[in-house]
Amino acid sequence: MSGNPGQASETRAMSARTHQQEIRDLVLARYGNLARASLPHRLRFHLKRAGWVGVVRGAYLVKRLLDILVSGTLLVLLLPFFLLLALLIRIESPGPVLFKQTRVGRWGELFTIFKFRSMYADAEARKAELLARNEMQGGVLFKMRDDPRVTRIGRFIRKTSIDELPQLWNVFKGDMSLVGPRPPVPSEVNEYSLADRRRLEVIPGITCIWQVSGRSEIPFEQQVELDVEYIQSQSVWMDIKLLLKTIPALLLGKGAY
Amino acid sequence: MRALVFADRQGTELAPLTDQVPLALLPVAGKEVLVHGIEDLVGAGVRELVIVVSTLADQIEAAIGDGQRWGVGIRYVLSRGEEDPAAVWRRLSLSENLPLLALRGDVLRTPAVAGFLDQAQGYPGSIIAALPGDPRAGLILLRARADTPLGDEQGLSPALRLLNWSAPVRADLRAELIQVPPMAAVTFNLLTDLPAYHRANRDLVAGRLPGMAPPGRLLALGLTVGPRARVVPRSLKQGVALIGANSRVHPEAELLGEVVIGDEVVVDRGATIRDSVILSRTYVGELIEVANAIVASNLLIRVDTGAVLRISDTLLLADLAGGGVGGEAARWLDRFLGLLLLVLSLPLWPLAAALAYRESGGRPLLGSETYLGNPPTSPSPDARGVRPLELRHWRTSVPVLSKLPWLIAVMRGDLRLVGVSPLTPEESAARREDWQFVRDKAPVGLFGPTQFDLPAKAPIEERLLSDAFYARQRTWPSDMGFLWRGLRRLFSAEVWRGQA
Repeated sequence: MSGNPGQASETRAMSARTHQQEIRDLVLARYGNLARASLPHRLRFHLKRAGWVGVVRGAYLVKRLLDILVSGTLLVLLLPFFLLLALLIRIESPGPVLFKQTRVGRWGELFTIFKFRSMYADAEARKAELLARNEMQGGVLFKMRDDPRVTRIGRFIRKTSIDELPQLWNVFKGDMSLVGPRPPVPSEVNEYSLADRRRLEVIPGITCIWQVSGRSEIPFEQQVELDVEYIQSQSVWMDIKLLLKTIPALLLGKGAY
Repeated sequence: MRALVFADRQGTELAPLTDQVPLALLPVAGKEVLVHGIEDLVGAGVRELVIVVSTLADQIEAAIGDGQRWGVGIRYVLSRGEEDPAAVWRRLSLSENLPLLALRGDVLRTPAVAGFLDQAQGYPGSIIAALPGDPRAGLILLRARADTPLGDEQGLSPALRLLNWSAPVRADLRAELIQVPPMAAVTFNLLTDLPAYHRANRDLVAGRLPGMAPPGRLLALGLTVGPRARVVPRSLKQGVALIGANSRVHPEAELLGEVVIGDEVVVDRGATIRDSVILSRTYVGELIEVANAIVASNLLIRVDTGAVLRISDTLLLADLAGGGVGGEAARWLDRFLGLLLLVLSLPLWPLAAALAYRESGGRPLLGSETYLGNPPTSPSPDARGVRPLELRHWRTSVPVLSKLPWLIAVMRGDLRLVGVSPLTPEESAARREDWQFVRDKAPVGLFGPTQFDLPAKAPIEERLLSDAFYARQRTWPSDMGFLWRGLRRLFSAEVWRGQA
């Protein structure tokens, strides 16, 4: 009997029928006696819904919670150091300790960012004359290596990125996050193309992929690509990995000047 | 350069999708129709937009904002909807703001503005238009001439009427109206009916609209996904698909043909989706087969037959939004507090009954009044679903005692602790003006500014006004404040004094 082609096709037809049957049974089991059978299904739906809510809102909540916990802890721990630094900055040159700047947040919203002042108080006024010597390729960003406007203590805190630490307060307040694309200044954003604006789709952060992977030395177009890559693939786990990778990048002091 | 963008279609032709959402905000492959248009304009260097809105205008303003997101200025003009653009123009008095580009923002058009503005420079005249097959998808550039102001002598009104949605201009009349530069290939979709909307989504995701691509990153050939979407490439059996942000597709679900899935969608095990558009926040149940359809929460719209099915079984299709966790938790908290207050108030009940016995004069001790309660929480709260709410009260002149039975309604969840004052069905039906309906945005509650600050016999207009203010300005902390005031008031002499 074996090897009979007719029987093989019959078996195939039968297995197809059983598959159909299976589905019918499943559907019947679910709807045949709705009052009784639907409870586990209803429970399943509610679980699924809870899971969905967890995915949608949870990711944001966990990120925000991480921000508050880490920035709050660091702010408290570093407070004595901050006070000492404030004193040093004040002694070296007159002017306020903190440097306030308007930056662009999510979807173009403006907010004030805080840094330790690392330049003399008249630095913004002297920017125009130095603009001609811009060393940053790609035009949109202004950065140069041996800026004469930087104070001595300023050079040190810039090299070690300590000047960025007051932004922990921005993180605590919710203007920024620990991980996210760096917030640009409004004049940069004015020159953004529509494609560049994609990096404004999330809350900006202190560190992101390109800070970890070599920082300021990357050309602007590639920075945008890296930021968009982060936005597309973000997760809490990735945030933690990036935070951990930031520490060696900070200690080695690559790229900051 | 400025633009006058008409986004004032009523959208009845796309009902029921446009029942809750204005047409301009319907997503086409991950982005709203209007946003597709705005990005085209911004990409061409337009920096100021005036958007003409009508139905559900506040939703458009909330979603699009003041343009900061694109680095442009956006302002809104309210209209009656599908008005004659020439009439809108006269009302706006925009003649000082030339050059100006007029176009519709509620039709889908492939990026054309930059190319058109380039071409238009080579043409003389103060009105230049680019008109593809249907003039309503066209672009009209109005330019200032030093010698003469732009007006009807140059054919301004007929030109603007080309964009008139409700009365399209006949094709043979167009040529006489204005100069038309040769238009580079522009593909457009007027979204005139549900099949057109379905086709627009599929065309965009399949790459049939030149210059437009679905947003997201390419996970596998033909499979584009948004941030945090969870899908395995093998779910896409054949064809192309776009999965929106935060959506999850079960590994055993199958996607075939051209599939567009919106944000925050869950597609469950064994579901098959073929050539369909799933709008945001939808649950597609186990083993469900969706073919050639538009699915929006619990609505299944068959594109070929036009049949609209409203599915009430949450296991098949469901709306995943439904108020959200915060709202749900607040409702349960209210009910719990209501129960607590009820228990605490029990010692007062005999007192209330005794007073009512003395004052009712032979009538039953408990009176009853019918009010309109809160709408059911799912799937979408609207006025039609509001059930009448029977509230009993003790027949006594001491306000706080007479209202004791209302706590039962709070415990049952029919009345919130803080909210607007309840209306009787007659009072509700007598409302005519727009502002009188603002109160519907807030729940009906036991405590609230109207209940506290207005005398019991205040005229209905005053109560509606006070409630409208509350509904617009309520926040979590302010609700907490009212709750606290309500509890404190229980100990004030005022509410214990009988009314003469």
